[in-house]
Amino acid sequence: MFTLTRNGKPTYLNLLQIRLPVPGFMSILHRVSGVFLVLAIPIAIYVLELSLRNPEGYAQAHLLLDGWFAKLVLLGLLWSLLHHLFAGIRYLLLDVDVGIDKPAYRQSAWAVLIAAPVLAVLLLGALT
Amino acid sequence: MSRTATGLRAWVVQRATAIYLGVFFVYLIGHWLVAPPADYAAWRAWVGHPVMNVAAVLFVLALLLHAWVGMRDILIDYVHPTALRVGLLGVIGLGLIACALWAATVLFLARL
Repeated sequence: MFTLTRNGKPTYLNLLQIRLPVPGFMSILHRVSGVFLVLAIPIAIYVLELSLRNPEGYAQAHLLLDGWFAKLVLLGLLWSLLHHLFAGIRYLLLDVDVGIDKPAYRQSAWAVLIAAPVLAVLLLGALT
Repeated sequence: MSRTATGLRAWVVQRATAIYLGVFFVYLIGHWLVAPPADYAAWRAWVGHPVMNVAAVLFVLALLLHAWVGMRDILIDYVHPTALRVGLLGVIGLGLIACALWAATVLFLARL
């Protein structure tokens, strides 16, 4: 089922078959959201360039971000950003031993999972 | 740097850049919530402001490093055939450098 690494330790990374505990699920989403954010980099630079080019470009960038599809993408990216940010803050705190004990690290994982989508919806409403 | 120390270096880079990226994003979102740019001139003046502009270029550099370390970690975990892994790392590395240069150009032009 699992493969052995070069130093003989078993590794098993099939995400479709592992039943992850909540912090593990949150951790995978940290990676997924990170990949989404990397994919968004060229799009973000394109919109930035367009918006800075001239007043017409600025208006075009506004129009571009106004459609329902753009809003959906924006919502996904806001979630990615917030999840990545909150999970990242949680990891930095764990690095300095804050919240590393049993109920706390589980509760903070839940907090990240819930806070990111809720705030993403609120922020999309406030920013557009 | 020795082979064993490169993992530590990546670990430190990932955390240092994370803090800068996090602070910058919180500032960006806060600024857009409180005082969104009124028009093109205000938007351009804000991006072209020397302090904001330098902070944004630093952000691009931090993002380049952070994205590289993160994508590298993911590829090392999930892509095992060496040729595919090296190929993907090359594509991602070149893509990130191209994006960083592009972003730096856009930010520089906003100062003119």
